[in-house]
Amino acid sequence: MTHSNFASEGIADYTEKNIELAGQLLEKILADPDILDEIPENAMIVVIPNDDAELTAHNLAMAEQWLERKQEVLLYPIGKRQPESDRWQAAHHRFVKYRRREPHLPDSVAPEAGDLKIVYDRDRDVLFVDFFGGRRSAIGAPASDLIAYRIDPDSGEIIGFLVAGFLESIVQRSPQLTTTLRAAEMRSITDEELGGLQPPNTLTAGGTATDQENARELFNVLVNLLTSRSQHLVPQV
Amino acid sequence: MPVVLTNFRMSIGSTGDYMDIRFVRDGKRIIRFTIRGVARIGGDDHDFVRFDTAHGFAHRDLLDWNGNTIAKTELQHSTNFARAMTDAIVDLKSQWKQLRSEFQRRKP
Repeated sequence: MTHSNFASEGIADYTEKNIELAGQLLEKILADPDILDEIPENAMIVVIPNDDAELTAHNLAMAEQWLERKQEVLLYPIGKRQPESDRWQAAHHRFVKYRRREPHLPDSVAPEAGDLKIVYDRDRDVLFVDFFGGRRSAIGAPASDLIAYRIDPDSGEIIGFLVAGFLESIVQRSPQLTTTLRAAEMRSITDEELGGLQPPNTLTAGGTATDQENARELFNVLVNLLTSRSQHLVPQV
Repeated sequence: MPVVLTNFRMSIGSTGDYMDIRFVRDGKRIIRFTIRGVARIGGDDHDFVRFDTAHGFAHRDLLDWNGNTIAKTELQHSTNFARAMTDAIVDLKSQWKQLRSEFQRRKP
């Protein structure tokens, strides 16, 4: 890819929106100049509006092109959705240094006892999975319509998943995932909300298996769920 | 407290356009900012507009292909940095395409 990969004709419809979002960051800097300490000299900042999937996709493509021009790129997540999990919030970065790395498997999942963290958000029907005890920050990368990888931006390793439509769709496809809820921190989920599902206990989260066995099995189930739909092969751990 | 200068860019459009931004601060106080509108044209970057708080008032400079100012306009809220920044962003948002087109037409 060369410089000419930037569109050579016309001006994208996103120009005005990007200027508006850039203005929001500049106003924050005026109010809190210490933010400047987080920005490397001459870095290119690309806004990632987490409430606008179309613009996010466009701007991530732009980030790729800036990397091609040997430009240091910082992603600046902005928008209405903010991390709600305390651990996730604690690991939240204002800027994320962007590197081109294909999502890949970590050397191991849940390397220490208690590293498998599962949170179920009943209101949104979203399952949050972290294989490193919430110690590592992550950016979300959609892998299908309902499942997103959580990727360590520094290493490119998949450190967890976000699963939307968990009870509504995902457990219908992989019923064994229902047992994941036994190990999840959940907000007042009831048996009724489980829809009376009594799938086979092939996934042993909450049973007698070790954390690492549970984590490995959950990881593989989620990856299989993705690969069976997208034919995008990802090796198992 | 030493004066610190920070320079960074913000990606704007799929043509490769961006804003080049410079803040000068003294401790926790911003004492000057500059925003340059940069257009990617023919594989090269060209400044076509600049917002600056130099000389004690916030103003907009329209630039020619050599980077020289061809028109200077004082911003409405020229002595208040926060409001001047808002003015600059509003102006850029509404006029980026037009100013860029006019710049292209001025090509020698």
